Parts: sequence; structure tokens; C-alpha cells
Amino acid sequence: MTKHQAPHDTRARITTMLAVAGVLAALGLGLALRLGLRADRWWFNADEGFYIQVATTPSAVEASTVIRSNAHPPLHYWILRLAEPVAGDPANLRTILLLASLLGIVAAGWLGWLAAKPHASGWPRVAGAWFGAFMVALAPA
Amino acid sequence: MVWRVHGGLGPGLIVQAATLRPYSLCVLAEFICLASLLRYLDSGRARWLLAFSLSLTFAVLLLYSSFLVALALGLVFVGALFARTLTRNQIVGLMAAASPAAISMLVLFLTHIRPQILGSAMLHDATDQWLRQQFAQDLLQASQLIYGAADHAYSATLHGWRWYLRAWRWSWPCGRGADFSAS
Repeated sequence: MTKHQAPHDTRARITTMLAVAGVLAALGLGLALRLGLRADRWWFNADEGFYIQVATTPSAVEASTVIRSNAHPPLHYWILRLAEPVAGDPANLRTILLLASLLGIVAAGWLGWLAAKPHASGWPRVAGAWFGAFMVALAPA
Repeated sequence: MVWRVHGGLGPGLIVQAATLRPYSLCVLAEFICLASLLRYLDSGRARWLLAFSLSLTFAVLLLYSSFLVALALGLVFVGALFARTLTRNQIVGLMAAASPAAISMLVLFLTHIRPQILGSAMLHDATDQWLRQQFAQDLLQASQLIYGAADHAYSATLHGWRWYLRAWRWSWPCGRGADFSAS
């Protein structure tokens, strides 16, 4: 039993390490691109101003009224309002989305690993993890 | 034409991942939702069902575009019911797990979408004026557009991108076949 199991365990360990290495490389690339392009120099969309306006409104009742009367779903407004006292400068609120974006790279690698057809060699799963992670690292999400 | 394709993956657009808009948070929630679903179907453990339920509801409350993911999952679920690839426990569990998201979608439709989007002047402005050119006006024009897109997809211009499609085919969950049943 152990005679046959040992090579299989070694192969599984190697494929797991390769998948993790690929996802970490994608994470590094994604971080470099997201920080290297200096998004913090600009505001990109009128929506950002509206989100800041709601997040920094002192009155919770007033903010609630604005959120209810707005076309967008409410959760993101409430997340920003909760984070605003910690963030200090409204521009720092973007850090939440930057972290989510980086975690998205890892999650895409995990999803690619799970979604690929299980195979004895393990290579489809490595390919799935790499593909998912690099696709999101290079995508605007 | 090549630049249109490159534009979708252009590094310059990556800055959009770090703005205040909730898209990256929504994408993260959707990835966790789908991965949790796959883990649940493989292991049958309730904690993955809970993670699926929470992340799907979270995504639905963040952005309307996640409705498309929820609806696609619903279609796959109906297909799995017809194909009988799910056990009774899985069917009950998945329906219970998806219900908070379904209720949230219904509430959002009644409180936000219907009064503030469907009934708004902005929608009429968009469909009659600044988005009018984005839609096909009739079936003939739609078929011509699809034909044109297919022609472009198989042209020499996109030859170098075929590896991209092949990679999708290789790693996508369709390859899993009918092995969704709990072991």
C-alpha cells in the first residue's frame, strides 16, 4: 500500500506547490500592476465621488435616506460608512477594494484549481489555478 | 482591430481594480461563492454551503451584475435536477442556501430596481438616446452582427488568441461531467 502511495503523495505535493507558486506569482504581478500604475493620483469616475459623499455624511439618517433613494444596492455604501472612521482620508477607502482585488486573484486561483477536471497527474488543476489567478491579475477587477 | 482585443486586457485598465467602485469586492464574493459551491458538492460539508450562501447574498447586495451569476447558477441547478445528478440532501441544502440571495434579489427589485431604474426618466433617456446605438434594432441586424463577430473571431487577426480559448476549454468546469454527486 505505502509502496504505491508514496509516489502519488509526492506527485500531489509537487502539483500543489506548483499551483501555489503560480498563484503567488500572479499575486505579485497583480500587486505590482495595481500599485505601479499609480491609481491613487486620479479619481476615475463620478461614482467614486458619490460613494465618498455618502460615506462621509455625518448623519446616519441622512445617509440612509440617500442610500434608499439611490438606484444601486445598499451594501457597498454601508461598508464604506463603517470603514470611513478608520480610513481617515476618503482616498484611503480605496484600500478595501485594492485588498479585495488582490484576494480575488487568490480566490480565482482556488476556483481554477477546484473547477479543473480532477486527474491522476494533477496537471489540469495546476493549469486551472494558474489560468484563474493570472487572468484576474491582468484584468481590471 | 487587434487593439480592441488588447484593450480588454490592457494593463492600463487595471487601475480600475483599485477604485472605490465595488466591482473587485463583488468579483471576490462571486469567486468565493463558486469555489464554496464546488467544495460543497465534493465534500457535502455544511460549512461550505454556509460560505456559498453568505458570499452569494453578499454579492447580490453589492451589485446588480451578480444577479446574472445567481440566475446562471439557478439555470445550472434546474439542469442538474433534470439530469438527476444531485442527491435529495443536496437539492434541499442548495435551495435553502440560495434562498437569502433570492429574497434579497426580490427585495432589491421592489425597493430599488422597479421604482428607481425601470420607472425612471434616466432609463428612457438611455434607451432612446445615448445607448440606442449599442443595441440591434431588429432580428436581421442582430444576425448580421453575430455573423460579423463570428467572422472576426476566426480571422487571421485573432489567430494568436486561440491559445486563450483553448486554455479556457482545458480548465473550465464543463469538463467535470456528471461527477457532482456527493461521494
